Amino acid sequence: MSVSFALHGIGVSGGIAIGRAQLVSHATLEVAHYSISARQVQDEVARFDAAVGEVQKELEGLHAAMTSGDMPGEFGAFLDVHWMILNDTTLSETPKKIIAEQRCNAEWALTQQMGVLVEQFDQIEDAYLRERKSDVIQVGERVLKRLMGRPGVVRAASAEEQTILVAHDLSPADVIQFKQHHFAAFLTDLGGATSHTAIVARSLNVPAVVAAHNARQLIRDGEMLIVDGNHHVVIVNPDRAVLAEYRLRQEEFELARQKLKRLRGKPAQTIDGTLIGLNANIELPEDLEQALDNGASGIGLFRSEFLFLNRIGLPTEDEQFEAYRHVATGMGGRPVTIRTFDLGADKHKEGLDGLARVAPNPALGLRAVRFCLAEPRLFLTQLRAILRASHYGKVRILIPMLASVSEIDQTMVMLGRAKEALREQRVPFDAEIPVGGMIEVPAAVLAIGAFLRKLDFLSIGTNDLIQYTLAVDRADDAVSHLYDPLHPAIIKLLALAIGAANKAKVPIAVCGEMAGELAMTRLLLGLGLRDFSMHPSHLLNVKQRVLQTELAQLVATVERLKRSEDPARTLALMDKLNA
Amino acid sequence: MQVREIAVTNPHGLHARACARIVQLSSHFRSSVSLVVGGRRASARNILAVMMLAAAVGATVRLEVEGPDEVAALSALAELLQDGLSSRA
Repeated sequence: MSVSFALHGIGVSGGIAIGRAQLVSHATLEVAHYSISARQVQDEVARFDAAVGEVQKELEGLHAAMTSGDMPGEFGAFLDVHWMILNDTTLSETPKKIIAEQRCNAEWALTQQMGVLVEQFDQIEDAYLRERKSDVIQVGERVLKRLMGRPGVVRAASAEEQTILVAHDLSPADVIQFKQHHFAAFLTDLGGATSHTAIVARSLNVPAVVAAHNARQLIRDGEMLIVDGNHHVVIVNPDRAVLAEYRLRQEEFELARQKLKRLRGKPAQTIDGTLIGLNANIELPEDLEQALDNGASGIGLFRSEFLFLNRIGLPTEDEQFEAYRHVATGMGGRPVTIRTFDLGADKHKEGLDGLARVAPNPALGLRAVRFCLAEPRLFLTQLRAILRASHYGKVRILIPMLASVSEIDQTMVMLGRAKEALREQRVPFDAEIPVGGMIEVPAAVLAIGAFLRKLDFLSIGTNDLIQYTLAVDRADDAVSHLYDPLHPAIIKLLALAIGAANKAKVPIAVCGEMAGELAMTRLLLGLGLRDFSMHPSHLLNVKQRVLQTELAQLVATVERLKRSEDPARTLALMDKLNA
Repeated sequence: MQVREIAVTNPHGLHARACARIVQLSSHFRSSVSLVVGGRRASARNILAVMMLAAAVGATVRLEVEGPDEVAALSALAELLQDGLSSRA
């Protein structure tokens, strides 16, 4: 029997999952790790040899096809390089030794050896020569694909046996890929409350624990796990009593979730009769269903950059138009706020020239609206697609990361050009389409007057506002504990922005993670916020809180919160507010 | 054993395609060929090892050839290293 032990991390998505661990490796996410018996070593080695042989034929076939056609000689030379790398003993022989020595599967042996080679390349000083590691990776991945097309051991995947994804870290692109799999929970070594793993786990409504440090190394493939996202804990190889206890808790949690479903059609109104807008944040057109299921009053944030991920090349105008129109018609006249591409920083996309270079400080670099204005063709294509979709529903445009008035002006010029071109082509669109701005840079809050005059609505992105105000990278585990939504500076900035917008009668919403956090709902209501946008999975929880809240009762406590500069006092006041 | 030292003049150093041609050419001879850069040695049979020598422009490559056709092999390889490695990959 294996030893039972517990791991602690940050529970970023609530709920309890019980299932078998499925490890995915850091470099090539699909690769599983499992042990084989001594008798299986020979078969595993043969499987590896066969895969190498197939790739060899594949490369030779490509080479023949190229020399018969009129492809430039460069391609043939590249194939030669790949063929030689494939036949290099460090790639074609060493993994077989690893299989025999470690008694592991061929995929894992190869991935490990690729890791060793890539590490050696990484030590090369000359940047150009160092980058040749990509050839090693490409050749290795060809073999991996062959191996995985014919897995040697078929893994049991019965209906009642759920699998839990265990990884070092997940990128936004990985995470989209995993939406198609049905994992019962996510567990990662890295990450924080606002990392992509967290956001997607919440969107899939599955428990997740991140920042579990060495989980990836301590857990073996196929081990039984309990992931408790509510209590930030993971239990590996639980004994029977613990397992029974958690099965019970799991049922109770599900029951509570079912009860919430009854609130779906109920208007979100406070006890004193104020209607609150509860909108959904979505990433892909498919998320629309979940938004409607949870009674969203509109789409407060459509993160359009996700259309870019997990694909080769850029999405065309027509593809974008179809995606936007699908959501616009699906919401049947309720507002759909499309945020223009927020690419850059943590949402990397290879193949975009502007992003291919490594920025010295990506969070402060060419991203979001800055990137769009630097790539006018890309931006115009998107604006045209959004405008065309505006004919089919109530569409609004939201510009991310504005800091200066000049950025608003330039965006308006671009929008004017897009409108003009559509008019000439007699393509219908909503000429009065509202244009709003994301308030996520402290400068925008402090100089909010100009934003209120020039824009039709505002939306506060609290994740970035906190990151930029406190100078804390939310993805950096070493400083993530300093990321504090209740920092006095944050409460002051929120009060300032919401107060000014309400006074100017310009609609303002919060669309960051904070909007979906139950502990923050009353604070935001007390600051005067009437429009929230959050992950669909939080909508009913927040609605329940709204239904139990009387605005008049919040005023005094929130006034004191606005002035508090003592963290202990702030917490005490928050407790009072949420009591 | 035949030995010759050659300076790398290609601005990209011994790039992947250059390494491939060295490996290819060496395989036509029966002699064993080694490349030494900065005290590190790689067999010319082994493209990854040659690539990892990371011979950048200005580095000196020491060719060591030993075997029945070592004279012919060295002169062919030296010629390749000196002028044949102009293209990048």
